[in-house]
Amino acid sequence: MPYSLATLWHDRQRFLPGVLAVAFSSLLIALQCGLLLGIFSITSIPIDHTRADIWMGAPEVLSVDLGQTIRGSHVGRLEVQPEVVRAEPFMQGFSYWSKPVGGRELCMVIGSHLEEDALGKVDALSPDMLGQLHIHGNIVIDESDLERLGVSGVGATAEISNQRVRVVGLTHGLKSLAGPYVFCSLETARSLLGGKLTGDTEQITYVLAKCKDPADAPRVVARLRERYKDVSTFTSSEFSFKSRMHWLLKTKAGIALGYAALLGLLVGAVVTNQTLYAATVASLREFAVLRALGIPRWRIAGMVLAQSFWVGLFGVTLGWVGSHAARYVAANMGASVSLPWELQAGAAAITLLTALVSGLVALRSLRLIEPAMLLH
Amino acid sequence: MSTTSPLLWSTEGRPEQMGDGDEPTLRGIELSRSFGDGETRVTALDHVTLDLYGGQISLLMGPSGSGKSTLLAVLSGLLRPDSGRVIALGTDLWALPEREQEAFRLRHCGFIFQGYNLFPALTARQQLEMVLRWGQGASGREARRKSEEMLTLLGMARKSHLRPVEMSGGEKQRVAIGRALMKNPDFCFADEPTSALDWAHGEQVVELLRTAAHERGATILVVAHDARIIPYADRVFHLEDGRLKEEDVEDQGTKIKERV
Ligand SMILES: Nc1ncnc2c1ncn2[C@@H]1O[C@H](COP(=O)(O)OP(=O)(O)OP(=O)(O)O)[C@@H](O)[C@H]1O
Ligand SMILES: [Mg+2]
Repeated sequence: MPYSLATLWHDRQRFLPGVLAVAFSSLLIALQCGLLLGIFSITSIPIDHTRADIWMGAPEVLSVDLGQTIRGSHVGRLEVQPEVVRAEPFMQGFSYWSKPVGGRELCMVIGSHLEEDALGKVDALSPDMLGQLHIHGNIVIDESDLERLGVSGVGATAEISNQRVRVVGLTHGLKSLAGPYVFCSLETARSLLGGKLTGDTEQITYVLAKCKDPADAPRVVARLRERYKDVSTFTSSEFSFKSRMHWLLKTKAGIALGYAALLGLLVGAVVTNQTLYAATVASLREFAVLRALGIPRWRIAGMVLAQSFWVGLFGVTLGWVGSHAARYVAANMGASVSLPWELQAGAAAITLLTALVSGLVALRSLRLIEPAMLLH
Repeated sequence: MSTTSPLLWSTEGRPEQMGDGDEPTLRGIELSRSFGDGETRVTALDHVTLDLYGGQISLLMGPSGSGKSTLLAVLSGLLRPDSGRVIALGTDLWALPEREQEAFRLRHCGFIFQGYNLFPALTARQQLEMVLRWGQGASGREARRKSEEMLTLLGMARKSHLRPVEMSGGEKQRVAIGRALMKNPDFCFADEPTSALDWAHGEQVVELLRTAAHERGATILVVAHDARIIPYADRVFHLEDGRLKEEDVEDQGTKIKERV
């Protein structure tokens, strides 16, 4: 066992605050990012809960919920690609929901094909719901939005754009941010969003496509991008990430996140630095003996840095466990925390680096080592 | 100590001047050092000149505040004198740049201080290994072997896994001595190594140091209060108000030599 690790273990009481501080800051960063990612993953629900590999929409679309109309004939552009086995239109747009009790609420109408293997229908729609959605004016909403939309449940009616709609089913866990999701057939959607969909040609919002081998999607997307400049084309994972990032940046939530993360790092750094400084000062006489014996200063510096590394490593490990526990707790409370490995690795790397820098700063304590102090 | 093994105290490979030859291995010439300024100025060393020889254990005695620790620090390269020179193995120690002084101490000097100064987290063996690994870049295996040999020599073979809190004062001081002698130094400086120990343990410590001098040919300087140590020393210096009393030295030295 290295001397630094032996010291850490022996003096664990002393080093614990440092380890906890590092754990705290890595937990804070991971959780902050994870929570925001989780919140903004709501915006990419239509992408993440459907089967498509490729999304084609209006040029320079910023986020999936901000899609503009494109020509319905663009479906053909995807159908002819050799890797593509299926292509479909998809409609999405904001509209106004008039509550039966009075008052209006923004809602997000999503219309898609309704077959069992359709690309644009969200996975939460049961076969029974799909069957009923074929009838014009029938819709499905999420159970969490009932109150917001002022309806009691299945069978309730309301109006969207002055057209009567009837709730025929409820999904679970498809929460919304700006406006509750309203799932329906393409035809229903077209008439609900009708005001926006005028013109000679049939208008849609997106073309969705599925590849025989999903691994081909990036290649097809690259080809289509090269070829068609009047639309924008993404793989579904690209578009999902783009949508989340758009809202993260647009809402300035990213700035709040940055400050919180910085604050966490600062607390971690200060406490770690103090811990290491105090630990070195406590061993000043022992280090002084080594200096008297002619052992170079850098060996001692190496030991302090190694200690900072271990403090960082234990802290990050603890933080990792903590963030997963926190995610579990949050999930039970209905908040989704998303912790992709990139996020976890990033949080770990940043905090570990901070611990090492704290160690470097703590090296100033080595100036206090003076062999002559050992004489009486 | 009965466990002493002549093999381990081997003097092979030592520079020639380390024998019991006539050349002193360590010379202090006209050393002066004072502390403070103006009215509070204290002269700790006042033109002290002395020669130390390899293979001998020299004792430095004197009342409290007489400058013993100061002299030891100046001779060993830990404290710069105001004036005077220290010639160690033919090198003018205080004329060297700091880095080379450090290298000199690394190659030639061992230290024992009052109060053990062992790392609380490390075992007896690790305290010794550290000196070889960090000082000489020895491999883990070699450091371990040599540390175990040293602990055996110190009668601590079965306590090599103990940490300082689990050791008695005498055991701790033996580890501290082991640490000082690990690299087989040409010089060993000890400032009151026995003052925290009862006489039985203090005697063991002095015995160990004497063996190191006699069997390794090391030059050993011990600062001590206790007059019971005198019979173990080859030479005794007396310091008073920063001045060395020469007459004691020869007297005691010859007396001891006859007795041993
Ligand atoms: N760092 C220092 N600053 C000021 N004065 C000092 C310092 N070190 C030593 N002195 C003074 O120098 C004189 C000699 O001190 P030194 O430590 O050498 O004495 P000593 O013989 O070792 O005493 P003791 O037997 O008590 O250890 C004393 O008067 C002491 O007060
Ligand atoms: Mg003293």
